[in-house]
Amino acid sequence: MNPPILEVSRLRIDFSANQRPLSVIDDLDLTIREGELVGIVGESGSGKSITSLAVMGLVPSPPGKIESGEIRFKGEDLTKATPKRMRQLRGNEMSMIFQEPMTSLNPVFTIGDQIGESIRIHARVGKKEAKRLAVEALNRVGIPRAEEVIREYPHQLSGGMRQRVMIAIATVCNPSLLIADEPTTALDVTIQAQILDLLRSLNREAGTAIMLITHDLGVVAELCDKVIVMYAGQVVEEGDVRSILMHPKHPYTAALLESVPGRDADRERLISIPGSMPAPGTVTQGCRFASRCSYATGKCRERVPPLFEVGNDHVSRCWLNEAK
Amino acid sequence: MLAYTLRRVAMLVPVLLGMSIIVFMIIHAIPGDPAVIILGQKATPEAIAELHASLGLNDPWYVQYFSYLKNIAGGDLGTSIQTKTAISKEIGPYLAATFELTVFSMLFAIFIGVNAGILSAWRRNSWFDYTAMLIALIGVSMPVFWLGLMEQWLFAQHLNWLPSIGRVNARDPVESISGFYVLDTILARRFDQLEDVFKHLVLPGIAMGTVPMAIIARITRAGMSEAMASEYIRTARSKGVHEFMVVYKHALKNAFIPILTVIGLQTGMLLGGAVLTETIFGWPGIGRYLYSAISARDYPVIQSGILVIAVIFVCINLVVDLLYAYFDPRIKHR
Amino acid sequence: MSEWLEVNDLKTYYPVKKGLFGRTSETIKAVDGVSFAVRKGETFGLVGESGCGKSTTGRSILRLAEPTGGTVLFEGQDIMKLGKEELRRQRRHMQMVFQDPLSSLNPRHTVGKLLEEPLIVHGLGNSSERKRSVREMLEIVGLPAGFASRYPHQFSGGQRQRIGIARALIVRPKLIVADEPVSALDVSIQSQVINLMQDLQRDFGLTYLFISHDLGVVRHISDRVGVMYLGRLVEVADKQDLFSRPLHPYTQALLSAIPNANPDAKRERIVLGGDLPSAAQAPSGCAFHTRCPYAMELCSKVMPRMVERERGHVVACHLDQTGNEAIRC
Repeated sequence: MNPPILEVSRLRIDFSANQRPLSVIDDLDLTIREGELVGIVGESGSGKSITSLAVMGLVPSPPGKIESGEIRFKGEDLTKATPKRMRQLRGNEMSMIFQEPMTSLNPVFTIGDQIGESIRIHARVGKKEAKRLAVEALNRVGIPRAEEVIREYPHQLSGGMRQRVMIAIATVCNPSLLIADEPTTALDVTIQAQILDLLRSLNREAGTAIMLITHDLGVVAELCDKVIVMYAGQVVEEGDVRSILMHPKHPYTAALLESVPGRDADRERLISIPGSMPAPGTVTQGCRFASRCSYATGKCRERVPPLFEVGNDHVSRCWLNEAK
Repeated sequence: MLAYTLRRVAMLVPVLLGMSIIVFMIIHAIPGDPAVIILGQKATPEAIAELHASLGLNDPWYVQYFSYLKNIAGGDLGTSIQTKTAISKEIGPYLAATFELTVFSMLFAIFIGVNAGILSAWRRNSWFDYTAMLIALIGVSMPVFWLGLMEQWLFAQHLNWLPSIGRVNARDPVESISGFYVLDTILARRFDQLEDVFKHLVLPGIAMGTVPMAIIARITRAGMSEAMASEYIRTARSKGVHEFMVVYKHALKNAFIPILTVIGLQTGMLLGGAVLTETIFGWPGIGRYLYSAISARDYPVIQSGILVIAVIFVCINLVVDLLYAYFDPRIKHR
Repeated sequence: MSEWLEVNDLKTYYPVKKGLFGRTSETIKAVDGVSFAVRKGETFGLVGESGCGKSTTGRSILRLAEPTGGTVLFEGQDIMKLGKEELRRQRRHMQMVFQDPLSSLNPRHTVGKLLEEPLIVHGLGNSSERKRSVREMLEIVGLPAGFASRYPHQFSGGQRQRIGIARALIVRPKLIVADEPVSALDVSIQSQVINLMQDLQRDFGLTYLFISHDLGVVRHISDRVGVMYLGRLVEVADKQDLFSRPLHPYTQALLSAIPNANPDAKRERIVLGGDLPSAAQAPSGCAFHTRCPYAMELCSKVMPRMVERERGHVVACHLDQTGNEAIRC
C-alpha cells in the first residue's frame, strides 16, 4: 500500500452565524494515499466542499474556523502552517479545480497569462520558458491549437475546453494531490466523459492522487478506487468503490443509490428519502440521519453512532452495524 | 482591437455633427437679430448691416451652417466681441489651466478613492469600511464652494501652509511655453517654482477632487465586493497567488469597468470648467472664461467654448470606451 | 385522437448582429425544423446537451419564444395562428414549470399571492374560492397550507419546485412543459419531486413535455423520448426501444457516456471527440457529421430526413438508409 499523502484526523470546522458557532464538519477522518483516486460523495450541505477548502487552507474566515483536528499533508500539519507556506503548497504540491469552468477562470486575462501565473509563482522561470510550459500543459490536457489558445480569453472557449484549461492550470506544477470539486457537474455528458478520461489518464501517467468531490454516484463508479460518503458534516460510510456501491452498509448510502433515477428502468416509483438534510447545528444528539431513516430506533435518536468496521477497510456510522 | 477602435471613432462623426448643429443654432435660436444682440440696442443700422454681412447672416441657414463648419474645421473659432482677438488664440491658456487642475484633482480622487474602496471591500463591515463610507457619503453631499472656503480658511489663513489664490506666485510668473505650468517649470528647470505651482494646486485640487473621490470610493467598493466573491478569486488563491495580487490584479481589473465610467464622467465634468471652484481659487480656467463671456454676452465665445467643451467630453468618452476593451476583452469581441 | 399535440417543422431563429457597425447579421437556428407528436396523457421526454434547442422548443410550443415557422396543433387548434387574447386564454391549458420557477417571480409576494395570480389572470373563481384553491393546491403538492403566508426565499430548493408545480397546476392545465424541473435539486430531493410529478400526472390526467439533459431522469419518467442535436431531432422512440436499441450514432454516444453507478456494468464507451459546434454555424448536411464515428461523404452534404425505421422508432441518419450495419455494433 502506498504511503499516505493526506491524513485528516478529528477535523472540526465551525461557521459562526449570528455570533453562534455552528459545526459544519464534525470529527472528520480521512486518508488519501499516493496515487489514489478517492471520491467524496454527498448532497449539498454534507460538508464535502468545505472539507476540500480546508485542505487547501481556503475556508473563508470569518465566518469559518478550523476548531480542532489536524490536516497532515505529507506529514506536515497544515492547520499550523503559515499563510506563506500555504501559498507555496497551493497550486504547486496540491491544487484544485472547481465546478463552474465558466466562472472559475478570470475573464479578463488570457489563458496563457493564467497558466503562466501558476508557473511563475512556483518556479523560477522566464517569460519565454513559462509560455513554453503553458503550451505544453495545454497539449497535455488535449487542447488543440494550444499556441493560439494561450492568446485567447476564457469566453472564447467552450465549457469543456475551459475545464481542460482549469486542469492545465492545476497540474502545470505536477502536484501530488489534485482536488476536483464537482469537475463535471456543469458539463454535458459527452464532455463529462472526456474530462473523466482526462482525469484518469492524469492519475495513471503522472501518479497524481485525486480527491473527487461529487454528488454523482455514477461518476464515482467510473473513476474512483475508494469512496467516502458524507452526510451533514460527518463521514457516514467509507470503503472501496465496489463494496460501497454494491453492498452499502449505511441506510443513507443505500437510499441514495436507490433514488438515482433511470438505474432500474422498470421501476415505477423511485425510492425517495423523506425530508431534507438537517441544517448545521440542528441535530444536537443521536445520528444525524435518524429523522429521515426508516430503520431508526430510539437508540439512534439518542446516541451518536461511531464508525463500525463492516468489512475490509469498510466502515459505516450506523448502529445497525454494531452487532456484526 | 483595430475594428473596435475604428467603430468607436466612426461613431463620433454623427455625434460631432449633431453637436455642431446645436451649437450653431445657439445664436440663431436667440429671439431677435443676433447682430442687435451682439452690438446692443443702441447700435446704428450701418453697424448692424456691416455685422450682418461679416457674419454672413444674409445667406440661407444651410449656407451659414456649412461656412461655420468649414471655419471650425479649419480651426477658426470666431472672434471675441470683448477682446476682438481670435478665440482659438486666447482660449488655449484657459484650457491648459483647467486641464492641469483637472488632472491633479482626478489623480488625487482616483488614488484615494480606488484604494479606500478596495480596502473597504476587502475588509467589509470593519471599522475602516464604516469610516471610509461615512466620509464618502459626506464627500458626495458636501457643496464644493463650502469645502473650498473652509480649506482656504484653515490651510491658507489660519495655518498659512498653502496659497489660496491663483496658479503661481504673482510676483514670479511662469514663462508660459505649453500653458501647463508643471511642465513649463520643468522645461525651464525652475524646480523652486515647480514646488510653488504644486502648492497652488493642492487646495483647489482637493476641493474639486473630493466629490469624484467619494463617488469613485463607493463605486470601487461595490465593484470590488462583487469581484472578490467571484469564483476566479478562489481559483487565484488556489494557485498560490499572494493576497495583494489577488486583490490588485485579479479582482481590480474585473471591477474596473464601472470605476472607469465614473472617472470618465467626472473628468469630463471637471474639464467643462468648475466655475465655482475656479472663482473661489482665482483659477484662470475655462469656467471663468465662459462665465465672463456670458456676463458680457460675448456670443461667439460662448458658442465656441461650448463646442470645445463638448468635443473634449466626446474625446474622453472615446478614451474610456477604448480603455473598456483593455480592461474587459469581452467587450471588443461582442 | 392520438396525436394530441402535434409539432410540425417548428423553427425558431434568432438574429445575431456582428461585425463592423453591427450590420452583417447571422442567424442562430436554435430550433430548426423539429417535428414530433405527443399523445394525451403521456410523458414525452426531450433530451440533448446544452445548446441543442430543447428548451427553446418547449418555449416555442407555448409561444413564450416566438417561432419563425412551423405549426403547433394542440387539440386540433393551431397555436401559431392564435391572436394575443386567444393565446392568453389558451395558456390556461398549457403551463410551464422551470428549473427554478420562483426566481422569476416577485420576491416580495407571499407564496399565497404568487399561487393566486394565475387564477386572477384567467378569471377563475372569486376571492374566497381562490384562497381555498391555493390551500388545496399546497396540500396536493405536499406542503402545509400555512406556507401560503411565507415568502419564496424561505424555502429550500425542493419546496420551491413544489410551489412552482403548484403554480402551474392551479389553473388545471392539460399540458405541462417542464424545463429541467429537477436539475438543480439534490438526488434525494430530486426523487421526491419526480414521484410527485408522476402522482399528479395520474391524478389530474396531465400530459408532460419533459425537457432535461439528465438521461437517467428522462429514462425514468418518460413514455417516449426525443433526442435533439443542434436544433434538430435526431431520434424519437418509445423509452424502452431508445434506451435498449438506440439507432442514431449520437444517441448511442450519449447513452454510453452516462456514468453508471454499477461498477460491474461492462460496456464500451463511445467518447465523442470535440465540442458541440455553434448553432450559428451548424455544419452542413447532418449536423452531427463532424463528430460522428461513422460519418460518410454523403453526411456532410445531405441532411438526413426523419425515417421510421421500426414501428414508432424514427431516426434521422443516412446509415440505416444505406444498409450499413456499422450502426448496430
